[in-house]
Amino acid sequence: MQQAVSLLELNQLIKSALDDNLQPYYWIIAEIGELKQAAQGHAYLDLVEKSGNRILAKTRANIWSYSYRTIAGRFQAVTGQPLKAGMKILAQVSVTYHELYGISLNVKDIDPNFTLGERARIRQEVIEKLTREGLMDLNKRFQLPKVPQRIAIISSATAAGYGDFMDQLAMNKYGYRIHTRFFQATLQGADAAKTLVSALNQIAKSGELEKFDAVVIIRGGGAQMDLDCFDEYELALAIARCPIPVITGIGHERDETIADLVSHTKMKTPTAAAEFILSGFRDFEELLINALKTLERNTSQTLTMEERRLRDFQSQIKNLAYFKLQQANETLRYKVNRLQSMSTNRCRIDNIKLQNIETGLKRYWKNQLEAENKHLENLLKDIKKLDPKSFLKRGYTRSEVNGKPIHQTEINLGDLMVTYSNNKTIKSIIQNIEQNGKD
Amino acid sequence: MEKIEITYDQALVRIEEIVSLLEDGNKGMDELSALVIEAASLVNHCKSKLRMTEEEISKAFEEKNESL
Repeated sequence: MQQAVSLLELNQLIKSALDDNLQPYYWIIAEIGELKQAAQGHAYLDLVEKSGNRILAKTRANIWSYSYRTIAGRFQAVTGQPLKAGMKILAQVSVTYHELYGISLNVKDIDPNFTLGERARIRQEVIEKLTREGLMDLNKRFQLPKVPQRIAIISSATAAGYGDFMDQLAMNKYGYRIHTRFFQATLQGADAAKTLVSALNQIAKSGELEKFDAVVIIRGGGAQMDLDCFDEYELALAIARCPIPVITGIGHERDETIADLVSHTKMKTPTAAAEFILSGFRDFEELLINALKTLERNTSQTLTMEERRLRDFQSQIKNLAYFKLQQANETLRYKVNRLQSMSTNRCRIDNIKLQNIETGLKRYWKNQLEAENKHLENLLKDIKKLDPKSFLKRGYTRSEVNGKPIHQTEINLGDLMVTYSNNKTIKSIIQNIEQNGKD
Repeated sequence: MEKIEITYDQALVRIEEIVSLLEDGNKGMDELSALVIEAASLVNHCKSKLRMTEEEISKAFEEKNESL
């Protein structure tokens, strides 16, 4: 029979071998596989080392309550996060072996600067990968509509930041109406990135996408919490590939998350994100108001100008018409003058002619009258000369026989002869007839 | 009165006629006297006719001048 030792003896051997050969402390690099906080204030962890998803080494560890308070407090102060599973840490540990509980590591200290650096390194790696794949500015190439009215919101219904965001939108003093649709996601813990990615995919689904102008990822508010999910490559990829602009409003104090870097627009807080969306409305409204003012100004200028032009035309036409009228008037006056002077001349000439005719007529009539008068005078003279009474007055007498003058009738002795003198009529009987000398 | 209605030319013809009758002298004394009286009256008639004509002409010329 072989010589055997009891399990306790073996475990005691192991313990003394470990005590003899191991140094009291080691600084080790490991990942926290699991972290539980016990009621007494002690912390129990699993420390692991991985290659990809494969676990290469795994050891239980603990932090006694008196150390844990100090370590955890300092860690959070430096890194901005609490200790949690998945973190790579640099820890000062002592190896302890208990016959009953086996081997475990007692964590004496954790250097938060290592985790910080480690996270920065991982973060840098993710950034470099994204840059290499051309994803950093992929979402930025989309043009955010000037007035993003339809917003898909990815948040947690219970997140304070979500409430802030919605309040800010609803209470805007300009009364802008913004249509929002809520997509639920978990914002912390191991599943956070996965739910965020799933929400993004849901929005990006065909048929849904056309309903939105932008996606807003809202978190923040309240105490400082876990932000690691926003540094994950998968989320960054989903944001970069989202076919509409993604706005982040992940309220936090520390440096930007990778989600912020790949997003179209990053705002520091949910309130700021809401304000940013509203500012687009305001800018657009101001643009409209300015355009309206410009339009008004230009219109009024044009109107004034046209009015002036019309007025100029009016006075031009008036002047021209007045000038033409004056010209026509002058021509007319000139013609009237000419007509007048011509007709006056003509009248004068005709008048002279008429006067000449008149004079001629007068003269003619005078001559005629004179001639007639003279004729009449001569006739009167003849009549007077022939009047028998004028002979009788001068003493001559006239004798008639049988009513006829004696020189024109046969007279015989014994005829009764009537003799007329100036004042006497003598009747006598012819007694003797003698021939007178001349005959 | 009837004699006044005869024209100037008729009166003149009648006067000439009387003158030649007087020149012939073969009328009786009473008839001669009557002829002389008729002729004198006709001469007066003709004279007044001439005066009237003169006045009418003057008046006509005056009217013409006035209307100008």
